[in-house]
Amino acid sequence: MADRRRKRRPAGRRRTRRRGLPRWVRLTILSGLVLGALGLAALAGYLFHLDRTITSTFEGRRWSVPAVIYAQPLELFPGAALSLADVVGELERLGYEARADVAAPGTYKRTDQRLDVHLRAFRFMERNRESQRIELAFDRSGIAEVRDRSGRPVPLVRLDPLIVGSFFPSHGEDRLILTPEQIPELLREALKAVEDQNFDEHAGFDLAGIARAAWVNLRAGEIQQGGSTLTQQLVKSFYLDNRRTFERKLREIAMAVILELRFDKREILDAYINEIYLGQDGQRAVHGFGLGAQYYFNRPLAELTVGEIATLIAVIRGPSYYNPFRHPERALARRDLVLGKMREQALIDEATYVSSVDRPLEVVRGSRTGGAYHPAFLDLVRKELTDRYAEADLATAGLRIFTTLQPKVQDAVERALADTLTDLERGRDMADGTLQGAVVVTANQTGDVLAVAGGRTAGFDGFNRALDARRPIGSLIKPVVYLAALEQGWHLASPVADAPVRLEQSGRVWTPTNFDDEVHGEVPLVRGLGDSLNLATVNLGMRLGLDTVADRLAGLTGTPPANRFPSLLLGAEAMTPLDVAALYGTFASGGFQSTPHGVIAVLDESGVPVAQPNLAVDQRIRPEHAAALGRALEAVMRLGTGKSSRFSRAGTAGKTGTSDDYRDSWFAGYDDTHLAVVWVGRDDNQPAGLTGASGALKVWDGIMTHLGVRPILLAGDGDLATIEYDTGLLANDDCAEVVRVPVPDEAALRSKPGCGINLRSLGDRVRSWFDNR
Amino acid sequence: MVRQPLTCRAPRLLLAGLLTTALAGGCATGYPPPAPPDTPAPEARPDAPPATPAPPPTAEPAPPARPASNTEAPTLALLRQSRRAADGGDLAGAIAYVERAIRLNPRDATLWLALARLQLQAGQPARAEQLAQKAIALAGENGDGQGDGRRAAWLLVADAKEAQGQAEAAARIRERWRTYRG
Repeated sequence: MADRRRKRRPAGRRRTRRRGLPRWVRLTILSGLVLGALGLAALAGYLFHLDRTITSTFEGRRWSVPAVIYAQPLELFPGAALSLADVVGELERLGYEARADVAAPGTYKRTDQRLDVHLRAFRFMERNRESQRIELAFDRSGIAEVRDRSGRPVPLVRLDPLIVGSFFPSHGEDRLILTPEQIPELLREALKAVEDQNFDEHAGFDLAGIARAAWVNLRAGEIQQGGSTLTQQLVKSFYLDNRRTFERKLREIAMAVILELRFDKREILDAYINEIYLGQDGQRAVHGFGLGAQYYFNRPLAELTVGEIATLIAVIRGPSYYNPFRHPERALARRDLVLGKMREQALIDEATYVSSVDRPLEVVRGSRTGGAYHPAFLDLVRKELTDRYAEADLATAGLRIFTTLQPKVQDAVERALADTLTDLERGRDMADGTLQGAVVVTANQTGDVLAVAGGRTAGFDGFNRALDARRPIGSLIKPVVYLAALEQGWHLASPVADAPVRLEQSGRVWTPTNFDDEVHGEVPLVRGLGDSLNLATVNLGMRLGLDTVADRLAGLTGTPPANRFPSLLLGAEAMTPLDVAALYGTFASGGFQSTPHGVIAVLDESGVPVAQPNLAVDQRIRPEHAAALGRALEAVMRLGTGKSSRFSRAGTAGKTGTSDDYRDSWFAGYDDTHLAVVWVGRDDNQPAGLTGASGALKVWDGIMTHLGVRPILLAGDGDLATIEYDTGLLANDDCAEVVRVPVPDEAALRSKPGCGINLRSLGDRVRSWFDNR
Repeated sequence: MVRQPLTCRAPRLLLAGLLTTALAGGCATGYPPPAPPDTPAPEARPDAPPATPAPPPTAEPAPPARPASNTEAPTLALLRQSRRAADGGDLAGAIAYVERAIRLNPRDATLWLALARLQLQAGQPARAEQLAQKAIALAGENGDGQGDGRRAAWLLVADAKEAQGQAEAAARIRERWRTYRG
């Protein structure tokens, strides 16, 4: 409005000079001029705006090559406990093809107890690996031999790592960007032939093309060709808006013309190849031929056959209508049409055409053969990068991020979680989908996160319960109470009273009870923890002092607890599964904390490390206390609340946790190698009706069944006494359930009457004989 | 090819040469052979009581233990590559090779000690001290006969303490291990 008023004034002055024309004519001309100028200005402004928008989008997409995230590669060496099936499973996950000739990288041949693998070239962290052929021989214990092409033994070689995703650090979308060299010329030419025959000539839009498309479609009686140029399709893809209004169409054409003015044909075509929408993988949109090749064929684009490339091109016209998984007959017909165009334009010869048309679609869903997309783990990587590194370091294009993810472990976790939750619901008449769950698996000694499940649906990119759901941990807190006791001079055979408790908590009387509503009298510490006795634990904690326990928890987690009420002793504190993995990781590694982490190294495009976090440990518990606690956690599994596990006597350690009203079911447990933390509950925080043992422990069992258990080594510092689990009296395992625990002075312990024969010295025996009187 | 028994996988002599830290006697990395189903967890202490009859049967027998890999050869190869990288001035590369070895065999005290040494060279004495402590804990965990390995690790702790300005603590540790004879 302000503009208009300002412009009227000069017009008013002119009126005094020119008196020849009638007033209405002058007014009309003037207003016409003004309106025209305004319109032009507005149009110019609009075009300027369009130019800015489309150019910055195009540049942004082109230059922000996303970070690619790799899992840990499988290490092959003579002596590796990997079966032939294990290695073939990983090869299939990686999209290696079984081929008799093994001539091309990405193929393998399996004969009886041997594998012939043509490894793909890969730029590893330390160095480049050219593609090479290796031969593996297996025996019953695993890989017996690894040899190169000339028969020389190879001490160690890696498969290429699985790509588990990619993202733009800035806007979180997923692409596998192809560099111009990675794009086969056939794809460029075929795209033009099928989608936009005048691409090389037109200026962004193509009237002749529209007319031709209309004619073809009219004759065919269906939409076979679109009138949109590749450039228009690219613009449309940038803004993902399918509403077809006239204004939008004009805008699309204007932007297409601008793109053509600003960038050359080749740049536009390559951007199209990296951008175009090719389908929907659950929550994830599949954009670009790089990701498309992985999604439909589980192989890199460079390894696709002519027919497979034609299938991808066929899908563009309607990714849902021509979905090769759901509508194979439509997809097949359109693929053949694309192959026909290729032949027509002499892009392929007759023989290739004939052999290609003869083959079926051959699509394989990547997520079915192993699941290459793990958004829950990607969340961990993203969080770690933003927490630890400056944004500027991560803005670099084309980062390569090497992570700790182990695909085999991730698969085990996803399967065990989904299957167990379904079983639990069926067994308890719950509606499907009532229960949710989350899992974190780490490597005990290093803190490497090997797998993350953020919910029961694998590959679902949503709320990540493993990282973001803070829930009361219930009895998972108890080891901290018992650790504090050990550090104050108690030992695992020391008696504690499992007796009724009455405590004031914020003005209210608190009277916790045991899970079985019984009172067990005097019990040894090892049983208080093992049977997860609430009364014994609260009595112990109150004797130690709430502050002692709260400070100990803070020392282990780095975060002071939110409350310092007595209910802290029974796990009112809320934590995420990842927090719990940090806490129990310290127990599982003999008192050395290594913060759970997913990133091994971040390299820029030229291979220079941007970040290399390196392994680090921090001793948080003295070795003798860690050793004693480890024994107590082993007793939990063998004799306590974990004894329903099928691995209870296989050399495992862990702890169950249940929060008030059965809202949260927890289990944290480990063997020699893996620590797995499991949470099961409901998203609406209603009671799930599960204890730690009846819910989360079942999931843990499922995971360990897939992974296999390696027994832990129980460390023993100080003298070990064999005591009865129930009473803490010296005993032997002929007449009692016993645990071996470190005690400073075995002679001070009493013996179980008639059960003290297995003592270590005559003196001990005589003393216990007197004790028994 | 001849395989080492699974219970004793510490590449002693070769490692000694590579690391200039002899780990005499015993296996730094010895895991027990896979336990048959239904046996209690093995005891690390040599003075454990004699094995006793099987405990009461559980509803479902636990599956057999997962077999262990024999990581001797790849560990040696990685340590050699690490050494080569370190000699060529590429500390980050040297660290990456040792970390890869640790991921293959995370309870090998010698590897954590090698990593500690590299971190000290890289000017990270606090980190090095903790890594050496980890090596000490693992050497102890794997039974007796680890005196030399623990000594080397303690001397590294001393160096790391000295690099952090704790000369007295360093001197005390060195004094304690000065008279040690393996």
